[in-house]
Amino acid sequence: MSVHTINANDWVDRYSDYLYNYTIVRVNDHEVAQDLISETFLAGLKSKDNFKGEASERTWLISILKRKIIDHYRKKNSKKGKAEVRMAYSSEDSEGDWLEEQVGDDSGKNAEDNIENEELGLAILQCLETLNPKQASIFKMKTIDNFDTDAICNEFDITPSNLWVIIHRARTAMASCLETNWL
Amino acid sequence: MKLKLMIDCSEASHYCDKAQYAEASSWERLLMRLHQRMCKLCREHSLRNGKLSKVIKDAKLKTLSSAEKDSMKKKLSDKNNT
Repeated sequence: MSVHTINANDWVDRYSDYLYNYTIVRVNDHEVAQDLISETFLAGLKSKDNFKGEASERTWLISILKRKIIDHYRKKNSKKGKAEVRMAYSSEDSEGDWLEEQVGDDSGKNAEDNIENEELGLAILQCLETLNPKQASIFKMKTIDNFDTDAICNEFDITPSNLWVIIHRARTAMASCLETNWL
Repeated sequence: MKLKLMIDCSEASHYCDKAQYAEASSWERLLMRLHQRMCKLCREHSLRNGKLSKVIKDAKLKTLSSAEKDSMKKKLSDKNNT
């Protein structure tokens, strides 16, 4: 087993998307998620001497992030009264239409699907870590962010045929990485 | 001019990759299908490649923009140097 060491400069490139996808399903707010991730990286930097290298960097960062998310909810809950629900009634007659108001939204209907989706997403990002960084970012831009071939070629200063070779290698690696559990 | 209908496996897999991003022309897709009629390996590869596309699409992954990542990096290095 190789000994894990800390390289804070690569953190954002390597882990921010993983941490973001982990966070966004839990806090459901883009800005808050970003703040929590920044805080996590900073806390990681501060305590990097405590990192024993027993777990992978990602696992270690996730353990910090989990605490940040819990803290976030604690803070939110301590601001009591803000969570009070106010109903606006259009007229006095409509006041007390309980049944209609109590119909839950259906966001929780596919809770199991959502959990599976999250696991799948994190598995994909974990596999991306096994590619070399340039390959990974090109594959991500092309496949997840749906950038144009031209745009990526410009950004990385490569020809389209370079791009397709990289994509092909990345896809082959990703497929074999995801094969056992997801394909 | 003689039309080239036979393509080899590497060409077929190149078109297959392009097709995953809807960037293969209909001619390229036709040549690919023709090749796959005869080549079991490429049929299987194509199936696997398609599954990979579907799985990634289903995961509905979100990424941070490069600007957002840069500002995060800046925050990190600022704090790291103080």
